[in-house]
Amino acid sequence: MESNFKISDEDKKDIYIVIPAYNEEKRVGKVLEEVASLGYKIVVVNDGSKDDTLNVLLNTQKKYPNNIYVLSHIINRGAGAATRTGLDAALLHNPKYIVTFDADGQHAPGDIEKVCEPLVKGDADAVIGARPFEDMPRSKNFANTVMTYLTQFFYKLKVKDSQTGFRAFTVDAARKLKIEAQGYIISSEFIKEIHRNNLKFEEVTITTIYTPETQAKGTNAVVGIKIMLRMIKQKIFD
Amino acid sequence: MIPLYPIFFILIAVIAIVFLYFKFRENRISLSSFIVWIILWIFIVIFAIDPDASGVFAAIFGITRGLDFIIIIAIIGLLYLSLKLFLRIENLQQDINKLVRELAIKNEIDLEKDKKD
Repeated sequence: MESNFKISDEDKKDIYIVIPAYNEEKRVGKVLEEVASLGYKIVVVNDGSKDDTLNVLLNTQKKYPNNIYVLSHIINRGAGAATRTGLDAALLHNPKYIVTFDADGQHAPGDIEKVCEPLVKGDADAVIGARPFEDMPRSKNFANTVMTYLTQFFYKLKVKDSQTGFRAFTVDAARKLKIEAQGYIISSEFIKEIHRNNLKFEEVTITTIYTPETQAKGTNAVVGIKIMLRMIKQKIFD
Repeated sequence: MIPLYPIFFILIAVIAIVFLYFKFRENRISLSSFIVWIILWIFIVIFAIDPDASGVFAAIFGITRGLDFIIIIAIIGLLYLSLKLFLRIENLQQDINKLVRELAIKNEIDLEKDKKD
């Protein structure tokens, strides 16, 4: 399906990759270099990391000064807040497409092309990179499955993977999204906003690279319960 | 002979009401919360002077014992307060987010200008 599709260099210049990074000094450098070497623009947000993440970002920026924009939260505000900062900053550059990407190396930079394909072809305004659940470690698989069902229940959009950090939008779609989340609930909120704005939506299966490090963060049971409570709260108060 | 504790409660109530009044005059608290607090303290004074009075209010709500009434009101009051605090903290979180995000975005733009110069 995605056989021979190649994004032109012209389009690549207009693709901005938003990467929120919190305590990722060991992995984020490699992720940035891989993505930047493919020719994409990157807006990376250091979310008040306690380790050396910010320095790693700045050093990587020196290698790709035209591709990487570094922003930094003074204090940690959560994955959602950092993603929003990245989105807002990316929008200032007038891109055509915006992609969100995880800093921990769980996504394959080669998939960016795959995720952008429906946007470039005009088949979709919003794309979600779904991780195949079969590949997921069991604990993650369970939490993500439950979250995906809950997202369907609360936000009425059927998705395979609601908790992915890999998403892509056209700039018009990105401008319409009203995201208020602070933490990981942002993944569910994107789904809600895609549904609310009636965006043309597609789901693309992506490769996920699971290492012990990439498993430490993300949606585990506790985060899942927190997200669920927030969704209930939103349902009641909004 | 009048027991000592009603006097103690009345004193505290008077101090609290005066304190609230000044806060209200400085526009530090809203009229509605001013009135709620005044009513609350008046009730505390009434119950301190005449503990049996709580029985009268309890009867209105169909509660047999006066003390139960006071405890129920206290629990409701505390729940209300914690909800209010929860919402306020939530708002504060949002404000902090706004600040931190705005700062991050502003600083990025400055960096960019430096690059062009």
